[in-house]
Amino acid sequence: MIAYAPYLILLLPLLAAVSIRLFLYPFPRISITVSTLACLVSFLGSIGLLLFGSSMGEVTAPALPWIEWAGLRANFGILGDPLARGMATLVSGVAFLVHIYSIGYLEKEPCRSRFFAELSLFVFSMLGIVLADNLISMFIFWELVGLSSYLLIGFWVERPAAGAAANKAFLVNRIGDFGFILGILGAWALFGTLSFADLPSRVAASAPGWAVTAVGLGLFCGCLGKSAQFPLHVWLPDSMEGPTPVSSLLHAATMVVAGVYMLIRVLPILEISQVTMMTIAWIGGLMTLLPALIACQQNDIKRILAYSTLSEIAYMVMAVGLGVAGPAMYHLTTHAFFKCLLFLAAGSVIHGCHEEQDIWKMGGLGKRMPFTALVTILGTLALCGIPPLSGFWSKDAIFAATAHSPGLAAVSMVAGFFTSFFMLRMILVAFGGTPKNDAARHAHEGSIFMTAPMAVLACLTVVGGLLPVESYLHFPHAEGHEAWTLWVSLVVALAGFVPAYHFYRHATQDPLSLPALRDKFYVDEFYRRVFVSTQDAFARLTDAFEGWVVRGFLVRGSGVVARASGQGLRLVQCGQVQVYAAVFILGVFLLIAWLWRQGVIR
Amino acid sequence: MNFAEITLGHYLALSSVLFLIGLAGVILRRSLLIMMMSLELLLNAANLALVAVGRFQGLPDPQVAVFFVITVAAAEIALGLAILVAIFRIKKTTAADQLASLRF
Repeated sequence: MIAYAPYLILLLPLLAAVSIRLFLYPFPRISITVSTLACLVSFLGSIGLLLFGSSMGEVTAPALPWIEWAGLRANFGILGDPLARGMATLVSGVAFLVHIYSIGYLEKEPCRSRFFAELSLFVFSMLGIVLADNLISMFIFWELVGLSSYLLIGFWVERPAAGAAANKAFLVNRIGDFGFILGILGAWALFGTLSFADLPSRVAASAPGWAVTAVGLGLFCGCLGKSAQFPLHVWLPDSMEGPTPVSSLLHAATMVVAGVYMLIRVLPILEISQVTMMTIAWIGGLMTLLPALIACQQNDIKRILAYSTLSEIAYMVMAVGLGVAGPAMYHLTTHAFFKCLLFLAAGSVIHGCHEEQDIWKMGGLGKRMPFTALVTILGTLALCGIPPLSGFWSKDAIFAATAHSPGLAAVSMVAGFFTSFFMLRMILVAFGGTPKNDAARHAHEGSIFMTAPMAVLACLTVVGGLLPVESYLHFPHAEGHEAWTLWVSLVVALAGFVPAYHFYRHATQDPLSLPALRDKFYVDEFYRRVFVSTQDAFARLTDAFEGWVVRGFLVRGSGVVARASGQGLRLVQCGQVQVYAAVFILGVFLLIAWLWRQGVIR
Repeated sequence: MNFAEITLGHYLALSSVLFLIGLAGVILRRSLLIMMMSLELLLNAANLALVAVGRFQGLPDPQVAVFFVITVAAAEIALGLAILVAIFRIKKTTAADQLASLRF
């Protein structure tokens, strides 16, 4: 029985979500306690797995037989390799901190119970992705995080923008997931197994070819959607309509990096095809730069961070594309710390300024919220890769991997320049200068529930680089560390601070105006013109079909026919009983005559 | 033609003639009273055919059926006459072609 204990890590948050939804909904305090405790126990369980899992072997819980159909065999099991154990600890740990933070952030929210139920559902689904031991169950949990993301983005149901953003996130993810499931089916067709344990050996035995490339690109589609990479990146900035803890947990630290995690899981398949790897590396490389440019002209504090998230995930994707999973996971871990911290600090700012998100309406927060300002600066330095903070070590590992691809190195280092630029811009505008309005003038720090998780994350941001992520994961270490990437990237990142300081030191409004960047390179407009309008036209066509053919012709038409024939047959009713009798008799004679001819009567 | 022997054919011929006369009465005559008398004629034409067949074939069943027909006919005429009287009281007529209010 004790062997099944790891399932508790997975199922406790689900239990919390279900019990809150069914029974505890009217009691917010109990709901919050149950949800937070479930997450805490999952976290402790994950730590247990992390520390003692290796002594139990690779698979830590017996798999339950689940689907066996026509050679397809999918168990419901829990994977216990170092990657899953580390990721589960990261997810549940960050989730626990965000739970604590949410207690303070949503203290005045009447629907807190629903929020915590959905948060627990998310923790369950995310741990499901991490611990899934085959692609089928991973896909199911993949869809479940999509659902929880949808629910949490649209948490403030009274805001139309939140509903629209939730729909957008869900629909854009559908596109990626469609490619993902095609990739899964292709992998099953090619390799005959979907279990992560069996895949490497089966893949090694198969020959490279266009089919493997197609499968790899299909699986990468799933990553494009969930990790919001080009061309499916448009949903992530909009998802900032959700509550800030959600942005912090789902859309920065854990859920959006599920795509990277999945890529690392299926790396044996991807590695066969050079085309797939190059595609992944270059989409990742370009995506480091594109959002970093856009973020330079954004004014919403959460959107700036969202674009930097896109950029940072792209570093991880690029690392996977370069075949180095270790640095990708390393950066994933440190990024989870400092980006979660930055979002929580942004939430603290928004909370302190009464829901104000425009950095140009803040100002002077450094004096009024010194703790938040401090952790924001720490997070920013880590994000920009300034030593000795955690981001430096992980980014350096990724830059080192680009040493032999000058194009990617150039693009990603330039992205680092702009990252430094827009982060310092954000800090100078929001925290420096003088308050722009009353809300900023009366800004204040949040309760202990909000500051404590930030303090913990700030510590992790500082020392997170020391975590032995790469050696723990046993990934093959990249050979030959070339020093030039370190120095170049560091100098470029530091250089980004200079123009930001120059432009925004005393700025009260944006001295730069770059419409193309402000309007996100018109990608949304392009999609609206091309895809949304096409789809609208198709929707109108089907609506017309439904209106004219189904409702008009088939439904109403049959009614009209019945009515008209009724009107016609009314004329037969002349009211003369003798006519009826005569017709009746005639009918009888005709019937007899017919039966006679048929030979029924003789 | 041998008049001494009356066969089943004769009975059935008479029955058919009676039936046709009754039918003509029901369809052609306007008075409801005459129409009901013609209905009686129709029923009795059927009765005659039944009795004749029963007699010539030596079967009891058709002859029993006749009793039922006579009973039903009696009930029918009693009801019919009652309705006829009721209609006459309201409409002041028993002509079938005047009683055509149940049309569209």
